[in-house]
Amino acid sequence: MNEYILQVKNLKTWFKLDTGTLKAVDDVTFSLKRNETIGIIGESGCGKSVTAHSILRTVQNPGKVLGGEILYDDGNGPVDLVGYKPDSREMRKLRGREISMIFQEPMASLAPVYTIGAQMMEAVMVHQDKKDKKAAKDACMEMLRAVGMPDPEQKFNTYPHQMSGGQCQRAMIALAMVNRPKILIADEPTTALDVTVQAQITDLMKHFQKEYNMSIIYITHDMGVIAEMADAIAVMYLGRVVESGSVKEIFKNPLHPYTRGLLKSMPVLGNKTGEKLNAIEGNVPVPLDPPAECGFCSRCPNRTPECGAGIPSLKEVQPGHLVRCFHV
Amino acid sequence: MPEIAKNNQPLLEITGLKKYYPIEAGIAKKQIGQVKAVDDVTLSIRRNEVLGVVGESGCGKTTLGRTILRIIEPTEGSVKFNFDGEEIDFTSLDKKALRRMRRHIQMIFQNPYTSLNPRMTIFDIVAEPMRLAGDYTEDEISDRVKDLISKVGLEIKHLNRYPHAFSGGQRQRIGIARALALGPKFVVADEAVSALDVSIQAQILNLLQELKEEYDLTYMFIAHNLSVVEHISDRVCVMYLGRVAELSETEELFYHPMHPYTEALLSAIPIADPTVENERIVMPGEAGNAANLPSGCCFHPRCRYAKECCKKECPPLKEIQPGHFVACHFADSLKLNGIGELKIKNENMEENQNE
Repeated sequence: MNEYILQVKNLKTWFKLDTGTLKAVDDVTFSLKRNETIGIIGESGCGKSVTAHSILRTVQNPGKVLGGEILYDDGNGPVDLVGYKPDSREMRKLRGREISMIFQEPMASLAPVYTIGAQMMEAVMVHQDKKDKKAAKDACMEMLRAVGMPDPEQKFNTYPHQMSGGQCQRAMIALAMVNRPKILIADEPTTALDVTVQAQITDLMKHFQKEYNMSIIYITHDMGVIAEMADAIAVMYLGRVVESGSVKEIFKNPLHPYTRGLLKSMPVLGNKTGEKLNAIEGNVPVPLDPPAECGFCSRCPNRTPECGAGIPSLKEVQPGHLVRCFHV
Repeated sequence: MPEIAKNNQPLLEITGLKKYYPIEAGIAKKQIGQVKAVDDVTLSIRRNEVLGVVGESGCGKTTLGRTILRIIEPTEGSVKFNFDGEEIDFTSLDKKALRRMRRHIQMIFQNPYTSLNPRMTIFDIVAEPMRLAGDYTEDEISDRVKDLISKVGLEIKHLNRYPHAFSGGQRQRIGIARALALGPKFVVADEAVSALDVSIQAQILNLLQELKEEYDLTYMFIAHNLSVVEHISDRVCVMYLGRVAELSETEELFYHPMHPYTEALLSAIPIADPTVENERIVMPGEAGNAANLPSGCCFHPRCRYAKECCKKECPPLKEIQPGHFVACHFADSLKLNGIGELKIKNENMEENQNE
């Protein structure tokens, strides 16, 4: 069997606006192995959420996936999801069943006017037997218990606003997991949560990965969480993957100036020096009609005139380690 | 002698500060309980120090910051401000006097998207505190605004724009300029970098340190990111359910925690190193409810070291070692793990890999 459950190649998702074309995703390439976790690291505006939505074909209007391939292989050969229309029968079968997603702000991402139970029942019944309500409810309760929800029977009939952030996130995980997906896309699931709740949620996801042979795409800007959760990393900047490789390799030997800048700008626990942090100067530009140049060159300490003249391609500089930079 | 006295006296002395919110029920709005958001906090903050305040959601750290400034009125307790020989009891000032004294204590808010008035230009936002204070001429205001805006890393041409034209990091810089407009000595930074991306966070943290040197500032830095707090703070205060659990010098707290809650909190921090395995202490349940505090020590239901006495008696905050304050009955006998124990695991793992 193909070792990759998902391969994204040269993905392009653009938004045609009145003010110009917003190239949110502009050549994203990465691969996810079965039963592994890939961490997508990037800051605001890098296109990581639009990438996740592109995979599920839930990009909001006027965004459109305009190029590239999203090859999903459930064991029966790869299928290109770009070839399906967003509201097609094929995508509806996949979404919420084979590929699921959890979002950043749990309380804002659950429907506020439906109970948790109602939302989970809907997910089960859309994808499984529509008639057997009892079986559906059993499946929901089993999953609520599995995510460690306190008082699961009571929570089944509760609304999102009546629960804490951590409980809402557990509910969302239960909702995403109830149909045992093969790929879970987690878009900054713990950013809004306390460090102790974050630890519980990441442990829960790791447990589910083992238990259900699941692959995870974990989107975050927290290098600590990536180090704990991920087997591989893809670093994104301004709509492109600028570096990718195994988690150990990227932490030990980061090659792209953005990755290096990011790692150097974080305060390291246990390393209090009293000195200034090595901040990356400047701000992330908005990718509205961006010029054909390396996206990072406006902030790069190593920039040369060559960097403004064209877009570097993603090259394999060591086995499994890819970098997009003219100077590596 | 006066010189020594000035340096030794704490800038801010908080004594027995409480903020209780009543819980009312029924048509008659009878009080049936209280949310003890801040429950008897006593702290002193030294001049020019950065005091980090950490704790989970609901521990009262934001309420503490706001109560000190009297943005929220305290239920009980006092806040005394000592500067240049002058002692001001902040909590007993009347409205008029409070308005005048507010120039000494200012705040930087968490959300850069909601803390700037969207209908005011940047110039007006930074000028507003001075205009309200009433003792600056328009020329003085204009000079100070231009000076402040360039000190925080923005440009004069930004002054006649509106907040929506700026990124989160830039807005936070504007918020900082506004906080410094009246020349305060004490600034409460309430999660000032939490909403920012990692690389921008580094810029703002550096800026805060530069401004502290330049303007002789003292900070209360409220945050939940422990790595950031460790980097910027001289001392750290850990709060739980409205009370202070532990207070000490930063490295002492991180390497030799003495409260079980601090130990568990430190063990939950994800380490940005894939070769380190983190041995996590899992606290059962979630942070309790300040409306319904557990009996005795408010942490006992989640504490792995809890004994009978912990359910009955609430431990006072005591100085267990010089400068190290802990609120735990067993503070001097527990041997807890700090972040140093994680580093040892790191070295072992590297050795194993080389074999």
